[in-house]
Amino acid sequence: MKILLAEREIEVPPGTTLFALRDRVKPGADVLVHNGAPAAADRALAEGDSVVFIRRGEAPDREELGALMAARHTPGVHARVKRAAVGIAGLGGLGSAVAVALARVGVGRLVLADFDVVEPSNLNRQQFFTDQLGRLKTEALAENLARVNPYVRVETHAVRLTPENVPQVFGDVDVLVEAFDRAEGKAMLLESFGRAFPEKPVVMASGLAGYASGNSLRVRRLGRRIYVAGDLEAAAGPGQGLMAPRVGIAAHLQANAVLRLLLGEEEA
Amino acid sequence: MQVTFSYFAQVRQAAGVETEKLALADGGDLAAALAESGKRHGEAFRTLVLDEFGVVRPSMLVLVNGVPAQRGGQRPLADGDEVTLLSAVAGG
Repeated sequence: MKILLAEREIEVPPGTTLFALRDRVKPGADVLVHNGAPAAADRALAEGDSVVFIRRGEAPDREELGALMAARHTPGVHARVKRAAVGIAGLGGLGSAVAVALARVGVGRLVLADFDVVEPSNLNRQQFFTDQLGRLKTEALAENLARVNPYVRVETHAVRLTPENVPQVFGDVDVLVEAFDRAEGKAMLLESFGRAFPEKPVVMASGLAGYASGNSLRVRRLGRRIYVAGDLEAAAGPGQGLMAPRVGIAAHLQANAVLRLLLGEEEA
Repeated sequence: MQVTFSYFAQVRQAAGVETEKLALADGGDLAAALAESGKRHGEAFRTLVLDEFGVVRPSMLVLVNGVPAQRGGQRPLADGDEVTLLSAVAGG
């Protein structure tokens, strides 16, 4: 009979039990998931069942994780995403969340740039942890991404980005994400990358502070290859700070726009 | 020649319009076009887009035909060109 093992279809003899299959394919697995629920007791498997075996603390190997993604995303999508390189300028509330989302979806390579360190005030929205305070954001985020998906290649640049080094740092990415905090930096990045690589898309963000309705955040196409996520108006400042929910919405709008562009969609 | 301006967010609010066509002398450049737009829309608009020296503010995104324009505004324009202005805001 046919069942799904870690989302791959396999044939097993009728009458195979859960424990017997475990002993055959992953001896010592201590967490068994049968049809979406953890299973403590043995039981006979049936046609079409779905089974996952986990040895606690053991990461799936590259092939297994790839197969899981291909099953979830479709093989065609996974193959394209795996070949892609995405640059992220700024690793704060936007950039760190975009990086995590793209690592989870299996982007092949991430080029990350930020000169800053993790501070306590970052923890309300950025993808860092209390035991990473004081560390370079590039290093801390690279570690976190390795825990999410160890097979994404991560290249880091702990530098302050300037018009001179932007083309060098991000020269070979397919898409660039602008995730700066300062408005002047956003314009600088767009100008320096957009003029050096006018055919490569840039996904920016502007207007994501506070806790106004998330419904006002969306992605607009501003130019031929330029997209902006946000409401374009809600600036961060006294009385209107950056907060995880709205920043997260904007970041995931950016990440989804990147994914769509990598998959050949023109409208983000 | 005619150049079309598209405004977003605060620039749109200051201009009072989303898009407009401006007539410019042939051979005009981006700086001349921005100055013309500034004349039309008054002090609030001018202050938002340009500094006291008439230079485009560092936070302003300026595109010509969908491509970022070099700060400094000497980019020549042609009949039918489209200029987009958006003032980026802090936060990320």
